[in-house]
Amino acid sequence: MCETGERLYCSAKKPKKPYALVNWILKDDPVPLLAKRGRSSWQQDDRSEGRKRVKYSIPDLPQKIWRHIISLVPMQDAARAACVSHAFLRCWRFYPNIGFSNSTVGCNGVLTKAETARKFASKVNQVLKNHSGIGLKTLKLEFLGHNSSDCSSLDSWLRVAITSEIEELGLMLSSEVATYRFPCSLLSGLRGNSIRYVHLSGCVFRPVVRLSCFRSLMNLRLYHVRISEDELGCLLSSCSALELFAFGYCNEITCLKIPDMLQRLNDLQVVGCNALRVVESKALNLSSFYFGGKQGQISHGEQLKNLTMLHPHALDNAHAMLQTTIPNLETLDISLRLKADTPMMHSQFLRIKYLRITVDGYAFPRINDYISLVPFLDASPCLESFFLQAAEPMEHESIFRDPSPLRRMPGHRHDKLKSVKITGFKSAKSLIELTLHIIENAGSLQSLTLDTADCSRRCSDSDMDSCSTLGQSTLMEVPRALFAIRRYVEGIVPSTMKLDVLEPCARCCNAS
Amino acid sequence: MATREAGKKMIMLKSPDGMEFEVEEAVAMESQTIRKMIEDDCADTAILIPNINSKILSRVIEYCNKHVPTTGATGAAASDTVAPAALAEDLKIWDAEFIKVNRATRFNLIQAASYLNIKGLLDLTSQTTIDTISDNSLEEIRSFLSTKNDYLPEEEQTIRRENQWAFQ
Repeated sequence: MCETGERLYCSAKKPKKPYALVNWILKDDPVPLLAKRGRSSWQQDDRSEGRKRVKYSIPDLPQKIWRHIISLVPMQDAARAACVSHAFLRCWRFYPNIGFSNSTVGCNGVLTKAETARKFASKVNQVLKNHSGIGLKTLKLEFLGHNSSDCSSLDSWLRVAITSEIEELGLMLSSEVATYRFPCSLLSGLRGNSIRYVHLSGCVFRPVVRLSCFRSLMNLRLYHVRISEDELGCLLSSCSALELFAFGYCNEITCLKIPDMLQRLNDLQVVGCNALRVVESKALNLSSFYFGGKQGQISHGEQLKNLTMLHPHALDNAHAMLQTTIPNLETLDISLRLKADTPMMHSQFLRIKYLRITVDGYAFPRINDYISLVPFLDASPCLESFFLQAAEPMEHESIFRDPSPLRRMPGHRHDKLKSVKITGFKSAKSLIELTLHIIENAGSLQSLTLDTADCSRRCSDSDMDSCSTLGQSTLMEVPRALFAIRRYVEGIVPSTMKLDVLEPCARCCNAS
Repeated sequence: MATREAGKKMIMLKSPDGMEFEVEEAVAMESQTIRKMIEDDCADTAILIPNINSKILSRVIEYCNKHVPTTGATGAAASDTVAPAALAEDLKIWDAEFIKVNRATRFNLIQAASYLNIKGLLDLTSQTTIDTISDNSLEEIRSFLSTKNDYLPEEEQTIRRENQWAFQ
């Protein structure tokens, strides 16, 4: 490995500009780890190819190209290859993407928590201490089980990583401790704006001045981070290029304020912030809000197009938010408990094209009346796709135990509906009623999928070695569900509609 | 000389062994290096490509010809009738054939791709080496890449100890 050094230029007569673009492969290495060999003779080498290729069977490549190639090798393989020769070691010292978790350093569960943490710290220490500090673009550390004595190590690792070249920084520490104070001074003193992604978890993060190095930050994730409202305000006001902000499990914040300078923010995710009462968003282009908490409002949510609320009580507590967001929503993903009256049922979702409802299992009284979802469909005249995740089966709901006539909901049309999928399909009478209602009243329906075990989601990924085991009640229910589909559904499906009935795969059944 | 032929602007590329290649400008601009030169108005006559002999340069041009986007200015017909997925699959098969060359040629192509800044070609030509490093023992890597172990025994011990985790 050695440097070649001719410049590419064009042969126009005047001016004969030397061409600077190729200089990146010609630069000298700033860290002389190797004794240099002679200049490469790869051209002559190539000419001699075919006649005699004894002396040099392959041409040398410049160090910069080797570094590029090694940078594409997975980290562990690149570290192993460092033992091949000095040249490979040199490439390893410039390796751009360092990521460690307990599994990377071979902590396979037989060690105690403290031993694992010690081993982790020692490995990361060795790698980062010996890194040239040049060219490091990504550092992601998932360090579980650390204690206060590791804080100085963490500081020193971040000192190596946080340079003007760093693009992605991830520090995931044990959430139950959250005592490590992130050294904000490293960021406030940083020149350049290469940082695109920051993920901090389980630490104290208290920026008190604006961080100019975050002005190109696009993706910020803070979980289990101790930060006050003022500090978070200071942080967000540094991130004018932010596109995604995920914030979770922080109990110090009651009001999450998104400043209007976050013009590019389009995706906001908030989970598990128990003290949070309101999200005040002035970000004009915020289009997706994922809310995993129990109660919380978003103000100024008129521009939202996609809303996800996963807590079954969130809907009950979100009246004000729904008042402002409903008119423009195109995608709604909610979790709810079926009961006679939910706030949504009196609303109109005029633009919703995709509706996903997850029915929470704890019904009271212990029966889920799926036909009560018809008003949701009715209120969504533009709905094209409807996805329903049914609750765990309850035997007493079965259509085979209830001889009363099937209920009909006349007078409702769902003419735009093209695709319906019900997962966890079972023989519950009201679910059959809902299915029949959809078939009879959605004239444009092209595809109806009834998945008796949610099996496709578990098994479609061929990389998986085994399926998740299905619950006993689901396995007992599957034959009943299939029988109910044959008896009540198949006969009325029109020829224009494709009915797919999915069963648990053999692997699921065996695993269970 | 840069000429015009059937409405397409042509660019002349010269290798140091005296061969000249007339290629469409769009094809030549697959190389970011050449693209920059053309955009900087630095390429009205022939462009000399030092360090890349005619045999390798012709292969690079072959690659660029195949990979140049087939819509718009270049006006090739294929993209109108063939689905993108089929085109991608066709390219993948073509790439696999293209890279069936000996190590010396492959390394020359790597260097040319790097020199001319053609990312797709650099990725393609580097992949075999990447796989060699990932899939083999240290001795095999040395043998496949004709690299010698230049560590002193104690140096090797140190670096082995440092990177022991990577062997687990």
